[in-house]
Amino acid sequence: MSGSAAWPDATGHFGPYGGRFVPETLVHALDQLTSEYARARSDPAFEQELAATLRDFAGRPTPLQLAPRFSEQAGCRVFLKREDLLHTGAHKINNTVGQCLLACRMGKPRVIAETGAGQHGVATAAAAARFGLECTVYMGCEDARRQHLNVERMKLLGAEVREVDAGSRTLKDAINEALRDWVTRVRDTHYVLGSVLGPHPFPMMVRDFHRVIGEEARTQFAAQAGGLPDVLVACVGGGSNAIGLFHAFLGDARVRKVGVEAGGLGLASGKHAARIPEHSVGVLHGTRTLVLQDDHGMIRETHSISAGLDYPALGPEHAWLADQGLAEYSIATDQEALDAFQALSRLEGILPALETAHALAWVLREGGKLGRDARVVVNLSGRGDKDVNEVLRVLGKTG
Amino acid sequence: MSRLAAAFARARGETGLVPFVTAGYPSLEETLAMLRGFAALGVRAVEVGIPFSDPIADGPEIQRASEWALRRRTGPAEVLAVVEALRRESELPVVVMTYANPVLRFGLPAFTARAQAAGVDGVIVSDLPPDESPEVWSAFDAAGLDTVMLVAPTTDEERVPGIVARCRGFLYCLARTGVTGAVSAGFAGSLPERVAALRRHTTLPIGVGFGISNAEQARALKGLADAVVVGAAFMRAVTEAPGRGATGGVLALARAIHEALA
Repeated sequence: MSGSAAWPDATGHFGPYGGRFVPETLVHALDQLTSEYARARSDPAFEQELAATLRDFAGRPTPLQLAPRFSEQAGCRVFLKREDLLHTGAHKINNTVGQCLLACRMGKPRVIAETGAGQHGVATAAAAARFGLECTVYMGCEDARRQHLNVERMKLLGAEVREVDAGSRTLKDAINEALRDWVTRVRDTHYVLGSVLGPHPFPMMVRDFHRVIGEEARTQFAAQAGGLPDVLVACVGGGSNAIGLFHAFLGDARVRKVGVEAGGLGLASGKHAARIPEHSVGVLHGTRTLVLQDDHGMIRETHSISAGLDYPALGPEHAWLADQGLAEYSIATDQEALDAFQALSRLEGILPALETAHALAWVLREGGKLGRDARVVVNLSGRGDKDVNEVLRVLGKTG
Repeated sequence: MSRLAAAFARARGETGLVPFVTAGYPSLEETLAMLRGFAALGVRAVEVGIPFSDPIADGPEIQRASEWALRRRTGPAEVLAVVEALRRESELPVVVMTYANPVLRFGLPAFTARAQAAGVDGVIVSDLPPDESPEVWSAFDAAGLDTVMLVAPTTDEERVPGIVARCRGFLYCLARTGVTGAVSAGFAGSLPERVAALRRHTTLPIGVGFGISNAEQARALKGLADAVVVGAAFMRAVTEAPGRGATGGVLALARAIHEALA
């Protein structure tokens, strides 16, 4: 663990990645956030309130559950870390509770957030309501269409939802607008960034708030199955649920860590959101990392059936883990994800989020090669209720 | 002394106009025509924007201009060619303004060499604070490109010495907290006090910009700043007069502001 504890460095860099690429207007707010976060983390009162809120409001700890029938089909032993059982339906609430507590400490009465699938937006709206903060969520209008139910949930939770009609009308454009809002109202507003992305300290701080996933899984696995799992699998958009699961195991080289990116219609089609295969370094939304870009350095449009993975940049720590061989990355296509969505639903009685279905798809495809006795932990990062309409639409279309 | 520093030194005590245009909006030909018009008017310097797909520091006017230019495949090489064309006929100082990614993708050594050869005098990288990526700043230094730094209303006074030490050409003082083209009422805090505070830290000329869109607003800065930077208002002028009228509309606004500062 000694190596990973040292990341990022004091200026927010993970090797050549990370950092702080922002307009000068935001530097003060990031400095303030960095120091307030450090103060909070050494304040027992903060830790106590965070733990109590995660327990009573969010529903931690989440179970680790053996999935026997899915295991049978996959050809290996599959354990599900049930983050889908958390309040609001995904791991996202771990981070929004932490950041809203920080906003309160900084005396900021207003929070903003971006959202793709809507899960982070709903989790921010819920935490903001819980702590009495004003909340505005930016969402691309294509995503608002795909995830209409979550738009209504956010509104019912008291948040204002601003649909973004620019660029690809998805997560990337929502982050652009959220950053512009923050540049304009930085004095009274905290930006609750929803993944391990953006300028320092966000990739570190969001990781720390999700680290509880892997810590719980490690203890639960030892108690239920004994020892350590052989493989950890999680989907990777920005990469928050994956980093949350992986981090507590980074010191254990023999535990494989597999991040699954959105393969969309396949790499050859160009319609995907897989950043690792091209390994193109660039700067987007405040951080240097692997991005999908053209020859002029313009950010490319991405495609995924899941709004939450439909994003051109990978969290900088994942880029760093990949370079060092500390984690490995693969893809699952839209079709594979849809198949896995249906498989888990029918075999285990659990509707997974389409994002999460990418991780399950990897297990269905690769599980047989791991062997019957291989023990695999999948981060079941979110539930699929929000995806019902989209899945029905796509299944209807594809026959 | 750089061309940019010399232009300010010659006009000490005056307040000049520094117009900004996004290159390629509505076309590279018209960008060049605008730059020629600015030179004929006698503006202090010009800023030429290299468009980026995700301009987080820009409001709707420059976003729209950038999207338009990018649809026509306007990249760094095309923009630098326009500067080179201007440089063949004018000594008007040119600062290129962009974001980190187009520069890094072009390749830092290639970008600086190409900018230097084109006759670029300075650079502004909107999303690169002075403490990030020192190798980028040293590459600009080595190529003799002035690095124009921004100071925001939210910048702590303790940060100012570091920013000033990194700054060349002129110091860009943001009039408002927000994105370009912001139309909030009045300037953030007391602008005269902020400029006076900056002058205690530096003898660099000070340009004031963000949200300044007409002659009246510019006149209020006369005698306070060494330059007034106007950008989004020119892009709005293009949007409102597309086609053959774009350059004329931009230059009419520039003339009005220039005369208000005379």
